[in-house]
Amino acid sequence: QSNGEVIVLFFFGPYGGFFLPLRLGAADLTHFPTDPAFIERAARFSCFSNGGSFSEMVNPLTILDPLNPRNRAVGPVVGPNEVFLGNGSNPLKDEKNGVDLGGNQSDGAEFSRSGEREVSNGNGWKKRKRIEKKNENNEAQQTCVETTEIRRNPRGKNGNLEPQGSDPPKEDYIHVRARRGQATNSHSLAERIRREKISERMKLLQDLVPGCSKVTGKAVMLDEIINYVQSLQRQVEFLSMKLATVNPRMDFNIEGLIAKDILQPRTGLSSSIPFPNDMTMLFPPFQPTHMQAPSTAWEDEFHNVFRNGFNSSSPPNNSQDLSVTLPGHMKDEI
Amino acid sequence: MTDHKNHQIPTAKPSSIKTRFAIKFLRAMNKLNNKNKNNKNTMSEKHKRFLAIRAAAHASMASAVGPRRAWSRAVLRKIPNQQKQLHYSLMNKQRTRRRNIRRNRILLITRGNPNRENYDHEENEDEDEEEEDLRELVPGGKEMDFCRLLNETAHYIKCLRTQVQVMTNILHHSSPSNILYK
Repeated sequence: QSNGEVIVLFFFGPYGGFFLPLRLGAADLTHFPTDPAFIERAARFSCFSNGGSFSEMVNPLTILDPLNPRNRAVGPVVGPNEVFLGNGSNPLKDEKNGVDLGGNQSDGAEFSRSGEREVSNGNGWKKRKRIEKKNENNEAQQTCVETTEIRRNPRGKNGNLEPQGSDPPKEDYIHVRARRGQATNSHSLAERIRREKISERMKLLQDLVPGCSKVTGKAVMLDEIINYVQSLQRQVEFLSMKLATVNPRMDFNIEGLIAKDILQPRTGLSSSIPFPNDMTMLFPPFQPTHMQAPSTAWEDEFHNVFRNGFNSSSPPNNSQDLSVTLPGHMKDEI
Repeated sequence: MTDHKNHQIPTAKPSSIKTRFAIKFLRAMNKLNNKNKNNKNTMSEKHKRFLAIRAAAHASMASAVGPRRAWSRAVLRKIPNQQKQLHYSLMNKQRTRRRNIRRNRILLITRGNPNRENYDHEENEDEDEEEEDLRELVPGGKEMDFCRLLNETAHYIKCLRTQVQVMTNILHHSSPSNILYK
């Protein structure tokens, strides 16, 4: 605990940073936590020599070009408990020690923390900058996957350290980082977002639609999806038709059926129905005179079942009506 | 007791979409059966029954999903049931308004240049037709942007599948002699 030393708090605020010298008196020390680790670290850093003036310190800071969209942190990155003691100009950012600089508190998320670093001399300081920059680039590239960041306030190119404790206003902007070597035109950015979202969704759909793992390409994928949706809808129609013919009188025991329904269906319709490619309307051929010539065996099934359902109140004996898995097996005449 | 297929058996939670749909659909079926006590068994009756059952299937699926999804909302809108429509509109006025505001911003950002001359010109031509088809298939698909359409399609597919499962089960259980062989 050294009295009489000037602690310079450098704070990178919205206006480029300001410089707040504090005179340490005995009373001021109460602001700092007195845990031994902190004191040790402080003691270690007190050997940081007064290498240069403030301007010298500023220059390394400009390496982290705040205008570079690749950099996320724009200020000196210091671990929360690091305190640089020394004469002259040492940057310090101190959140957890309760040193309130008033106004803009620094936002922890804004600064990329690469962990606590120890600097032993002026050269070390510069080295750390470079390491930071590299790390930031790596991070920026790693986080390329999530290219959209939603900030609560519209953020300029230099880091705004707006307090994030307030409620977000209703305006939500989606901010996107331009990746390396890509156009930063607003249109192309929007295009890129859109395309990425679409490809994401297409992947999800690929998992849903069976048999689509090999398919690549949007157009073919869309085709498959459309076919699948159509076939599912047809299945529903078919099932409802079956239900109509089969159950004119029965009352459903809801509770009991629910208990059983939870099980997966047995090997039945859902797995045995192929995806028919072509199916004309199911129910204009309602009366025999209106029936069209069935073009696929799929239709044969339908017609057969329908006819059988009508002709006998008991369910049809020939269970072959729905056993078709391949088209061409059913050759019933209408 | 559990059938072991190649795939896992998802155990339905008591309030899953599957059970909700099953309950609603069965109730609707019961209603229909009660109405049709006089068993005329003519073709036209059966046809009407079929139409009613199909409508009941779609309606109960959509109401099991609720107004959360655009496609279910679109289906619910078509039901000539005043009560349901009221319910839907009450629930959703505020939500959709807020959502629309946000969506408009996003659309503004993402739509960008409507001319889109430079970017994926070929892709657009190839896929517009299919996009149209998909929009027709998925209820309510005509008013969404493509991204949203894909979302809705995914959910719609899931729901269709559960629908098929449940209806198949009902068929199996209600008429054991009408066994569907593979």
